Amino acid sequence: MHALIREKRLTMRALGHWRDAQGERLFPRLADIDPVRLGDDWHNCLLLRLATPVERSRFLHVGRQLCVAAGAPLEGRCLEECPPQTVLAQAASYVAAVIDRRVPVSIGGTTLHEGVQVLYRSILTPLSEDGTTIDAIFGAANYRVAPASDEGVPP
Amino acid sequence: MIRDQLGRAVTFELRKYVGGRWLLDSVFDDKAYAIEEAKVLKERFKSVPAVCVVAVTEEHGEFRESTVFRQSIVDEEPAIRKTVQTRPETAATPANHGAGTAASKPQRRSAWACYLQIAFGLIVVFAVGILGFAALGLLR
Repeated sequence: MHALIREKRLTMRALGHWRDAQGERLFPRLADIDPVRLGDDWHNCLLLRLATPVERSRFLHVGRQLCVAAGAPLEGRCLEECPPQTVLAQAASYVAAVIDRRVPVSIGGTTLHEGVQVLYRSILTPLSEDGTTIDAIFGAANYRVAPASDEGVPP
Repeated sequence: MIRDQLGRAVTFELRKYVGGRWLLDSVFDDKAYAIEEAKVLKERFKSVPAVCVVAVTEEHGEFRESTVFRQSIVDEEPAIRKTVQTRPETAATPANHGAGTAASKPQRRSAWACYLQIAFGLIVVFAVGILGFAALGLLR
């Protein structure tokens, strides 16, 4: 049924993909995240290889919708190198909460993105190779420009 | 992290009932999202008998919980239990014939046992009588 009706919200579709990859396990593996199945949503996704401390974690993938226009590619770079005041920075700001709670976490709200006030919605989900240690994060985020009169409903 | 009218931090935890206990499934900062995902989860995984969304409010290091949504087959249990309890009373009605059969079986079994006991008693009485007559005949 769920395959026939496409979920409207990007973050919910990303969570659905994570659940599909999860199967009967506690966590999916990094290799279970399938860019082909994600289709266009892949451009709004991120993959992060965790390290200690968390700030040293490295981006494996940053979708082009989350990249900063004038910035250098973020793949291979550390979390602490993420440009501040971007949707990506907001989305990546609660990685520690996902590691701590060991479940998907979804956060939304308003933030600045390349100098523009935007409404955003994001989700981060835990991944694990051995089924116990969370060693990577799969996430997704989208945003739209927040009109001055907007009451703050994320996309 | 969103805050309520009193400025307290609120998160919405989606929990699922698995293996006889409630497990944390995911965390949201938005009530509507959490409830929507709870419905999706319940619909998608038939092995999950119940889901709920709990608002967790943090204030001065203390956490308060309140359930804002719950969907469960466990909630239907009292109704099921009530139906089971009323079965013996409604067993005589044709519509509940099947339901009444199971309830009345023990009664039938005890009636047959009673008949067998009476029959056995009569056989014993006849046997004793026949033996008595035979003994009297021998004495003569």
